[in-house]
Amino acid sequence: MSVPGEGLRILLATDGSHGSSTAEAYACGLARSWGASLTVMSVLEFPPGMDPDYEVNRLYLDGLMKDVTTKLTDLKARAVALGISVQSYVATGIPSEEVSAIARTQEAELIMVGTRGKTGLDTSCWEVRPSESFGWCPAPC
Amino acid sequence: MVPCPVLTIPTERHRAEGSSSMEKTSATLNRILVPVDFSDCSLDALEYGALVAQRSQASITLLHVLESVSYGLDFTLPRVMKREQVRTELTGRLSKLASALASAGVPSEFAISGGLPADSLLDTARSQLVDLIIMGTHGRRGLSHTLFGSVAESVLRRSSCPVLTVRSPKFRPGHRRVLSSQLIPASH
Repeated sequence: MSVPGEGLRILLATDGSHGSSTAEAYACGLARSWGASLTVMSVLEFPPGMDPDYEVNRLYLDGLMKDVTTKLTDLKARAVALGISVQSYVATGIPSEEVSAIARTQEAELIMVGTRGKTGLDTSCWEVRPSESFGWCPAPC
Repeated sequence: MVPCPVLTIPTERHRAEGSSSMEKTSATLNRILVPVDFSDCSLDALEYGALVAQRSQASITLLHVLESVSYGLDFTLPRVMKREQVRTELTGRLSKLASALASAGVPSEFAISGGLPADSLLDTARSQLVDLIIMGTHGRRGLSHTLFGSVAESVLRRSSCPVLTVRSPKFRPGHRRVLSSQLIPASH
């Protein structure tokens, strides 16, 4: 983040869940106050090694894609209504890696994600993605 | 490796469990907390913090946590004097950072606290009603992460206010550092 100045690009990684609405509001607020543009993205989580063309997997991915596209379109409309310049992306794969890749190609200077702040047993049972930010790059959880 | 700093926003539910001051969702920044252990990554985080504060006209609270290495029962005069000497030294270094921030037009204050770093940091964030925590991260993974842990990760999981983690600073060409090289030790 060549923080924060004209031409700043913020990448918001979202799963479109109810919890991510806080991150969306914050990202829009920050983009407006810093005069930054926004790139919003979602990742269709799909483990490597699985065949995306296998019929069952295809059905699963198509369903996810439909859902995510609707959510991103709505998000984009809300941001544009606030006067923010927005681009959107959907990627397939491992969230942390895909977010990192888009951040690089888009030359994002700040990545924003939401977190549910899982700790203790929650962390053991349900992976907390923002922790990946220290090694790679986070994705919403 | 993550190509730029990461800003993590806690969900509404998570915020509600934390400090009541953090229930707002606006991106207004009035007070920023920057923990400093004088490592390269914490000073890079402070550099970012200064830029964010300048842009948002926010103030910075610098925090250094004196972590207890052992709980000895040595209260003899030399030990007490040594502790005082360390504290005086740290106060001097924090004062220099605060002066550098002041010359960049960023109002700041500093504090030294004791205890576990993550706990002290979160306590300060709550008591000072900060809007954002900006902290550096060493980016440990694997065994190193298991052995030494990560203060940043612990804060990120438990904080009720947004946390900006800086691992790969990316300053624009021509960027003039707020913190001069004299304030940044060659090795830590």
